[in-house]
Amino acid sequence: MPTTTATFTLNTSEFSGGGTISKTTTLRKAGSETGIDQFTGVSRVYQATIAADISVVAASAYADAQAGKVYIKNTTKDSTTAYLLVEMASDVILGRLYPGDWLFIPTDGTTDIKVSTSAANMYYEFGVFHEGA
Amino acid sequence: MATAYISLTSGDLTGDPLNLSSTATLTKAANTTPLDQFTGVTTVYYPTATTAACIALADTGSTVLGYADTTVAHKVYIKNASTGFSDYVNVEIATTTVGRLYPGDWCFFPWDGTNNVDIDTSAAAMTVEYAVLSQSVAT
Repeated sequence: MPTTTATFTLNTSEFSGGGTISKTTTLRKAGSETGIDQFTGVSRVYQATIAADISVVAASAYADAQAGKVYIKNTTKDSTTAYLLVEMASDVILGRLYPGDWLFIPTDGTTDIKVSTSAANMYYEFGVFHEGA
Repeated sequence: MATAYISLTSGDLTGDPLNLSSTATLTKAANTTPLDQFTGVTTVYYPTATTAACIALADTGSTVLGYADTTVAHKVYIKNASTGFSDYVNVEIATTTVGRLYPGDWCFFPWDGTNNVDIDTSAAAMTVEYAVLSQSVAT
């Protein structure tokens, strides 16, 4: 089975008591030692106009109770204000990805994940690691 | 300025090796000013299975625990620091499930301060760590 790792390093040295933490996890199927074996690849999208509720994860495409992972990045350049609004299910707002920001979240196959663009001429990319339908 | 780095690698998931990395500089919404608040990394041991344990409280009315909302670039980090393979942390925004973190899994995501971030633990004797980086005032 494939071995896929996700490493996170957070540097907060500017804060009192802060420092650097680094965590690495191997992406495994739910409740199992077996590695995640499916990946959508990283899609790059150019959105010419403001758009709402663009599907990133359609829960109906995946089995439930998974240990999937989603990566999304706002790759828009030459802007500090153009954000991706990340929403779960029916417009439950998670947060905003400003240019250069990324997220890495679990998905269990029960909740749709959508993004909306706040401006014209935005770029973003995303990929889903999953266990299939 | 605080930074968050991600690396996704695999030699055999795809036809060619996967090697993706990205670093985000953690700034306030819509400008280049650094985020100015950090909870530190908190480690919590849950002796029993727990439902709706609050990680980040969306409550602008509170001057102690609440966070600014909407035009903000808060970030949340959560890790299931338990061992084994089966005990998971269910991450929720408001009452909506985001997904499951199995032992060793971590997540990092933006939070706009309008909905609580909660977790459920699926079993007894689980350990979770988390942190919130935030801006004190909305942009």
